[in-house]
Amino acid sequence: MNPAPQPCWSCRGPIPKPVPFCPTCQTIQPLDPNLDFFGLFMIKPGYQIDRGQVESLYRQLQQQFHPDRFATKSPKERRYSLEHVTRLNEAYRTLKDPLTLALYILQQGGVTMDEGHPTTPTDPAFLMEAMELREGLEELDLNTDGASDALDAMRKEVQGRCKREIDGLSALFDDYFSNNNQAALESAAAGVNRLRYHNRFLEELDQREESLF
Amino acid sequence: MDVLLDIAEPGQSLKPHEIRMEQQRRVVGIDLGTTYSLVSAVNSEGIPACIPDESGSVSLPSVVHYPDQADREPIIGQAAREMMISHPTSTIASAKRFMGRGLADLHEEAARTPFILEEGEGGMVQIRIHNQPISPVGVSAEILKSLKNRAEEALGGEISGAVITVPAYFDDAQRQATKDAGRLAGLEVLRLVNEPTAAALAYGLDQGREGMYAIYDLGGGTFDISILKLTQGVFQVMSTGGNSALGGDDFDHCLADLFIQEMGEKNPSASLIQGCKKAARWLKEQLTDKEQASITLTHGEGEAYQRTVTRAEFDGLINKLIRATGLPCRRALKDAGITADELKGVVLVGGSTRVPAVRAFVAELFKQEPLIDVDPDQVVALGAAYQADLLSGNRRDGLLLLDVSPLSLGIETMGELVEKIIPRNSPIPTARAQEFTTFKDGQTAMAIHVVQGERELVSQCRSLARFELRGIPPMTAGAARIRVTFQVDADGLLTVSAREETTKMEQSVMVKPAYGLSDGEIETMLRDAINHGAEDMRIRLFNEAKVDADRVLAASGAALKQDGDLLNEAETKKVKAAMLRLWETTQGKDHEAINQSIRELDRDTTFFAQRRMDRGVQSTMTGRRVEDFS
Repeated sequence: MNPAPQPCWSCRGPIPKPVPFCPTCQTIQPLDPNLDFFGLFMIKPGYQIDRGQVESLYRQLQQQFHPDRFATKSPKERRYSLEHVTRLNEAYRTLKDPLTLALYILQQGGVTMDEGHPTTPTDPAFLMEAMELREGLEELDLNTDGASDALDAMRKEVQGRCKREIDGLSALFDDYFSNNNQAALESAAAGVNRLRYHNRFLEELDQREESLF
Repeated sequence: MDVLLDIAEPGQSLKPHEIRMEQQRRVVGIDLGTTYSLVSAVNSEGIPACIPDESGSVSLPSVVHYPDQADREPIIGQAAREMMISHPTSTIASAKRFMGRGLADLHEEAARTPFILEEGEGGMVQIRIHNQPISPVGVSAEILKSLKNRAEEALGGEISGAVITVPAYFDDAQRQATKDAGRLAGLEVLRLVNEPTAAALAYGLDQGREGMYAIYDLGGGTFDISILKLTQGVFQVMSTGGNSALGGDDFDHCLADLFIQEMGEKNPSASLIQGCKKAARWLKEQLTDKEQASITLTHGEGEAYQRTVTRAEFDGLINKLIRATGLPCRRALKDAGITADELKGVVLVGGSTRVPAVRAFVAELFKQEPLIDVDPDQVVALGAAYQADLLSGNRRDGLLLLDVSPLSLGIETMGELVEKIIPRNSPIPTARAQEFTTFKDGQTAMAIHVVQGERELVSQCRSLARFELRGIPPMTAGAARIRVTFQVDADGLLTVSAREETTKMEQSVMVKPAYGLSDGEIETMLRDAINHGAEDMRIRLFNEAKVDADRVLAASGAALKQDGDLLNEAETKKVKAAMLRLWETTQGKDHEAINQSIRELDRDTTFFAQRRMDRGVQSTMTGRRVEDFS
């Protein structure tokens, strides 16, 4: 059943379904609160998204909605532009990064990371590996010549682990989106946790590296 | 908006359809620099050019002299600069360094300036001159007013808006102070634009040169680095970094400090310090082309001090300062996720990039010779004019700037730690929310401390604002959910609000930066500054009403075009007549008349809107518009 058309706030004509611009007078409309990040970018929901396509769509959408395009318009139009672009930037940031995207998919699917899923991984083998890496970082003397290379080697190692987690998540999320398999989503949570852990470690590597600059 | 009005009745002399709804607006770009300021506008061919003063010079020295008789107008620019040595304590230069700063931020600066600095009501530093407190915002407003007058004379009429540039690395308080200065000068600030971004625009990087660029901007008092990506007509800032207290003035200070030390002056007078700085600047400029240069100064009881400085010696003196620009550059590259070899070009901005040692350092750092084909002194102002033209809707070439917030924003949590809410280099405008909770049973208030910076400890970041959220319903510790929302607008300005979620009780608080001007100060300054305040207000109200009238007319025109078949001839006439009346009021001067006509048009077209909606509902029901089903 189609929803009843809503009147455009500016020309008061009918808008059959939520669209960003009125089909009659082309005036910007308020942001549709039901639109998710995939819908905003008009792409198919999924985990393996084409990041080049997202970049390109981001620029096209900015061209349409950016406050610079509404600088001479009425306060209401300027406010709607601000709302659209604020949301667009949030969506862009989320879609760009495998970790934030994974967290978003879980959240949209009703899996909250803090309830029923511990925020740090509990798998003993994983913890052992992680501990070794952390010790390696702690023992690293940043004043030696090879420090930069050692950091790079560690980064490569952790990035490799991230890649493996992302591959695993891709399969689970594919299962979830194609077969509506809620169980796949639940099991993705552990992988997301490990990915988050690796990301934190990479951030720490970055912080150490700054002191070398 | 190119919608044309075709509502003239036959036989009428008025042909509104020939009138563009938006006339060209007179807008300018202003580079409000530490040492020089410039104003620029786009000519009829769409090319930006800097506007010269009557002597033909485009650069206005950012210097203001306050005469000792209070009734005399301040002296601005070159004439003021010439008074720096004779009137060192009543002539203010480099006020940009004080913008949005508290006394505590400036202890090093305070020791060097000849002025008496003190804390103003809102926390921002003030300069005491002739026993009167002068705010840096007021000084900047004088410079802006002078540029505004220059532009109005050159362009032949009132300036309706301005883009003012700020260093990308300016924090919230510094940006707010700049906007306040614009307001005080009677300018409508269309947008604050980051200097490197403006420079990129002016550089004509839009001429098919897609790729990544670094903009290295070393001005008189600030250093900025930005990495930009240009694709499909969009300039996307990938990362920024810098130091808002490092610039060419510091090169002068190195030399001036050396002179004073060699003179053996333990307590140099204000005018000797200014004399040394002037000589230092002259030497620095000479050393751009020459291998060595000499100065002679008199000090003490008329003793002569003669000094020759070679370029190598100068390079040695400033080497540490130049190297200090390296860290932000490497960090910016990393934040952008690229290496130096991936850069398509490096653009130099700011007078201080004329120093050969700076150019050599940049070439080494980025592994390529920098681009220098636009005058580095003018490039920022030119870009600002271009952006002003884009914003005013005069231009249709579709270029778009996407900027970022330069510093992380966060709030203080337990143990004086900072919880980041908006990380640095987030595309703006942006909004982020974070939830916090109470830590005591029955807690009804919560202090919120907003900070800006990259460090983990509150004391190492810049404090922007403190406020208290009150009226939290008493609950057990940890039960309340307080949602703190940060919103950064397109100018890079921050608003923070907080709300208790469990009760859905709206408790929003807007905050102002701690180092801003207090409302009282702004009010007093506005009262002092604006003698035609009422006129300004009237113009603003009229412009607002006209913008809305344009929208209503365009909407009505579109409605007639789409659904005109729903009206009979008499009804069409009635709607068109109401539109014409509204259009006529927009040609007058009375905003109330416009608003009244908008209301009347609204009333006269309600039946039309109703019929349009009815048809819309019907077509949904009967499925006539199959394409709408999905």
